[in-house]
Amino acid sequence: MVCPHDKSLDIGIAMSIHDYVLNYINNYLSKLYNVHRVFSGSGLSQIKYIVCPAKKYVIEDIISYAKRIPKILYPRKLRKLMNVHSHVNPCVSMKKNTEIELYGIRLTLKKREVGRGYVLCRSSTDIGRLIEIKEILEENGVNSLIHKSGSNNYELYIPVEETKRILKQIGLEYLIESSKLPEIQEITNILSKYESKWNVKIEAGVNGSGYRYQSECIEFELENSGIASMLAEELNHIGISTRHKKGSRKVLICRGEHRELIKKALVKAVP
Amino acid sequence: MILKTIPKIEEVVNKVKNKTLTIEQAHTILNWIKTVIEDKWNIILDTLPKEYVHEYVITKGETKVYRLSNSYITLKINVPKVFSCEEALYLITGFLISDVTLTHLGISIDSSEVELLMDVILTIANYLNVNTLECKFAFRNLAITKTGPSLNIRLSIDYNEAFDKLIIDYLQIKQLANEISDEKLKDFLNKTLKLWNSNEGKKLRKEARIVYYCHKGFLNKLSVITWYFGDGVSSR
Repeated sequence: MVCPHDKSLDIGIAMSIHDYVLNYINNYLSKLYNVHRVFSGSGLSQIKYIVCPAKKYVIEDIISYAKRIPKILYPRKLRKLMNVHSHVNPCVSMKKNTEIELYGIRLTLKKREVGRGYVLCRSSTDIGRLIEIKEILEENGVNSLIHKSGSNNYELYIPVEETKRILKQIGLEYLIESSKLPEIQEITNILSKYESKWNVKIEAGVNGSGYRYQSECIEFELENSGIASMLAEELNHIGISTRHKKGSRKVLICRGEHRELIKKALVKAVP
Repeated sequence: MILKTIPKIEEVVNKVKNKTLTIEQAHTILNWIKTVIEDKWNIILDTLPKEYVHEYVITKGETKVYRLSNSYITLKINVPKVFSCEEALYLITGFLISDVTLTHLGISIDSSEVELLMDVILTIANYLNVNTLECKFAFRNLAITKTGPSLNIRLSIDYNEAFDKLIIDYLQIKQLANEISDEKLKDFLNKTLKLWNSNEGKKLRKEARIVYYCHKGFLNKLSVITWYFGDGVSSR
């Protein structure tokens, strides 16, 4: 089983330092670990978290350090880490983004953080280089945009529709095709097995980059948490993503296309 | 002085005086002394002569702190060879950019964690490539925290020539400002030099230290480990 979330093992270092000093340290350490960067955050935040995959390497280093010194000399932070470490596996949920070469430029295909869809992008601290790339793309008839991401990082990206078109052109559209949705009949079969109350609810959330959003969700309330998790599991099995907290009697379906599908199924099941 | 207020502690201190202890024994004894002082703090406070204790309050969090004077023991500690000299150098730089202070008088660190002090001793002894190390433990201050009294211990180790290349002073930073090519860092280092003795300068020195160790190549993956022990934060 893959550990779904490894927040329990977030590690960081408290330091309030200037952006350019942080940059310098990041550059220096990322060469050692052979990663893109080591510390997250800008100079303003007090705690600089170590990001994946460097986090994994740092934890591995700490564990092998611990094996060499007498156990009685473990400082508190090390004891804590050793306890947590045996339960979780850091950085397993991290997916590596696909890289695509276009007109001699290496671009990363990644999911947009806000909304749905994929974009081809390239990030850099050097805006001049990004403008150069933008010009090359323009010569080949591809539109792209540059925006600021982070304190001194810029990102060039090709909008969603344009990305779709390009991938179709080079025959890689399967990379962004979403998985097939289940039949309505399949859903009604599952829902008819459970006795539940349902209603529509507006959920507020915050995504990874701090953007607040609201989404409409269908909420099922079941007899007890056990039955709720059974329903969540069955729906997951046919490819519907659900939100279900352990120990809660509620199952939520928030993702747009899945929610609409469930709505249709409910109309059919309860005429 | 504080060690003389409780007969039990005095007895133990007299026993270990002038003896070489293993690092595990030293850890156990210090931890024991620390626990006894914390447990019997109320009795100690009554019997301790006034000139040896100074009370003050840190406004942030309203923690009451007692500064103690003239309370220390010196122990000779036998240290196993765990790390090579090179590895130990990287481990020391990690400590130096977090909690440990290095001056021309020697190395010192304040901590309420005996384990951390022992790790510093282990690393330094391995770096100096010696079997025994003489360490001074001063019981500097005691804070009344939410969980009860907490004793802070200062470890000091005498200066050694081998620390020469690790020491960072005005001159080293000046040299670094000349060597470094990044304009922003150069400006920053010059600012640090200008403010060297002010309070703000002291904050900037810490950043300058990290840059210096990176520039010299003294910072390594191993340093990140000890850096984490000092300034690290975890989410749980």
